[in-house]
Amino acid sequence: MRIKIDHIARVEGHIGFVANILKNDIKKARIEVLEGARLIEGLLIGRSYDEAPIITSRICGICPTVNNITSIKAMEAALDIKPNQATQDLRKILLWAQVIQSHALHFFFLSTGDFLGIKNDLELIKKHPGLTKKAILLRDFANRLIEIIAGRAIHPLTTCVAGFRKAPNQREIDDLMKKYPEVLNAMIDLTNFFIKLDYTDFSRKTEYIALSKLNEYAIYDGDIKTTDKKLVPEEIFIKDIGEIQKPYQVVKRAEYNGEAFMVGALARLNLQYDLLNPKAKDLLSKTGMSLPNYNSIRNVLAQVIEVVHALEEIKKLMKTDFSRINLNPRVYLKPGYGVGATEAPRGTLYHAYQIDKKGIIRNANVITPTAQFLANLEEDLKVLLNGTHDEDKIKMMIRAYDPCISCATH
Amino acid sequence: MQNKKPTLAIVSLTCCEGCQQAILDLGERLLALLRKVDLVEFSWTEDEPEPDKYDLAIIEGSVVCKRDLKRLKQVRKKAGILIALGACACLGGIPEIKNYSDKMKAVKYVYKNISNIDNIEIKPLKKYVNINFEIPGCPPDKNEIFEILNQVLAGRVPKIPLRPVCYECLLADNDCFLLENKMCLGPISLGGCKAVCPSSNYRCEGCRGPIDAKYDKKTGKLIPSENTLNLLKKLKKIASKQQIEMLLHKFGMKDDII
Repeated sequence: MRIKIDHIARVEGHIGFVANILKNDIKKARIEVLEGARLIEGLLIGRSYDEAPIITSRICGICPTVNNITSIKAMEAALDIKPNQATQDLRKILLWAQVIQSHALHFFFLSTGDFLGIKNDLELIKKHPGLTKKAILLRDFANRLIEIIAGRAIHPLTTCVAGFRKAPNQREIDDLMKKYPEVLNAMIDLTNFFIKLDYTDFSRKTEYIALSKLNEYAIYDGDIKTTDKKLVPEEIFIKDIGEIQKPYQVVKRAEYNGEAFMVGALARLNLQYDLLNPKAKDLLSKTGMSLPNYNSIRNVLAQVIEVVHALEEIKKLMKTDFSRINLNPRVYLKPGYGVGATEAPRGTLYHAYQIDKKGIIRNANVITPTAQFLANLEEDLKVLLNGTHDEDKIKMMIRAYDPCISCATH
Repeated sequence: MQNKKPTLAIVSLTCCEGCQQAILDLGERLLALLRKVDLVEFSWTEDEPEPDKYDLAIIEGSVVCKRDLKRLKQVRKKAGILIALGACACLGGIPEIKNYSDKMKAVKYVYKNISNIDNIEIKPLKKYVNINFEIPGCPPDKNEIFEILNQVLAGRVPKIPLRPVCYECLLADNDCFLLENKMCLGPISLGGCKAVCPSSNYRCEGCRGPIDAKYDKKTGKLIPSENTLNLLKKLKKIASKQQIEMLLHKFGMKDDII
């Protein structure tokens, strides 16, 4: 028996699905990528180090800010630059705002339909105008925050290697933060709605991997943590990720110790749920979900909890004195190799560069979250297909991962 | 039939989907826009049979693989008015960088196994099919998208004022990169972006394309403008030939100005 879905709607980019089942034995369950490769890494070779953050933000229009900052971090690692705390805090705000913007798009506009049996988002908007308004309020808040700090909501401008090109306008930030209580309340209402949805009872144990810190739900820095509690610096861990590229595939799939693994909201939550902010922790306990949780469909709910945490975290980070950031810093060039890792909305994102003494890029490698979790998604789908061949359930599982095909192919 | 809403399709070829994101970022204004049209083709909708005709189609991204080309031609056939959205669709954008270097080298660099990986030369969509209107920029400005779509829906022909980025840059009271002997493409680039890059202390890299591309009517060959030649003269005093080349390649501007 063959199951073939030509195009899966409500994901970022174009994918299909194909499975071959022989007498209850699942021979193949594969996500088919229906996009071309833009060869972004290849385009960087021969260009100056400071162009990588600008060009790599174009890997993805949904998470440009995180590609930009990860690229900056990798260059700083190559050049032995450590920006000050205020600079790091301002970057963290950008990353959390990106998480809110991306998650809210996914959990509300791309995923909700799967749980309510709605196939067309226009119908969702019509049926749930109140919730739609709240999701939009949330995204507007995050987008405006990125715009104030980075110069615009898509493809940041003010961020640069060693600091920022321009400081944010404190008055604009203060004005926006007046909306914070309203935004947090809207998010709490959305969370209560998502807690009530049925995430089915799927379960498959796998390896969960994310950045980790001792006293903070990590997003900007930390060591790479795996389920077996191993903590490894990013420049070591990147060597342990196997990238496999088959002749017919534009997406390289990744493995760790020869096995598929999961990254993203559920992986982060599983590894550091005890570090969530109070409101997020409180709402997580209301979900009643067991932790660590092996139901990948609950990645949607993990995203919801993370957005509550993100709002609280942004509020905390606002105490920073932004006038202290590294502004228009001077960069001293030297040859080097650097790896940067951050938590993108969909999971750990790695950028690695080799530069020469003039700061010219000689090697570049980007490993995106979707490329990492695609193999794990296929393993989940094999288990799912054992119980059901329902196309809607297959699509629900695929969408729960929030795959981004622009990122995966780049 | 008079009260029937116009049908709209929003289509993505290979790209970062940032242009579509700019449309989504309109938020409440997008909902207002969607009340005026019948959105018949978009990644948000599923299992609806695709209609044979659209009144209006917006397309983002580049033709990077054969599938993209097939889709572009199909959309052109169906659409009454076809709008190209963003730098990739209008100018070539970031992916066009590979045209100016050894494009085989780029694909071999990224993929060890290159059989079946398409590696087409990147061109603006108007080189493949007839495009009725272009909304440029990387990313395009969401306010401009909103404005233009409303004009099109009202039956007007939208116009982007032919003013360089410098015009809005001066109004924003920014320091001039060129006067500080730093590279900038502001004088030859189409404005309308409110000089968002220089206002963030970042040079203009011409993502909205040239302001005054002129072509010889007989030969179809590009005639470099006085403006372009003057800027290039200035840039040569500031930067190396290679640095200038790389800047002009970045969003695919070079083959449209000289």
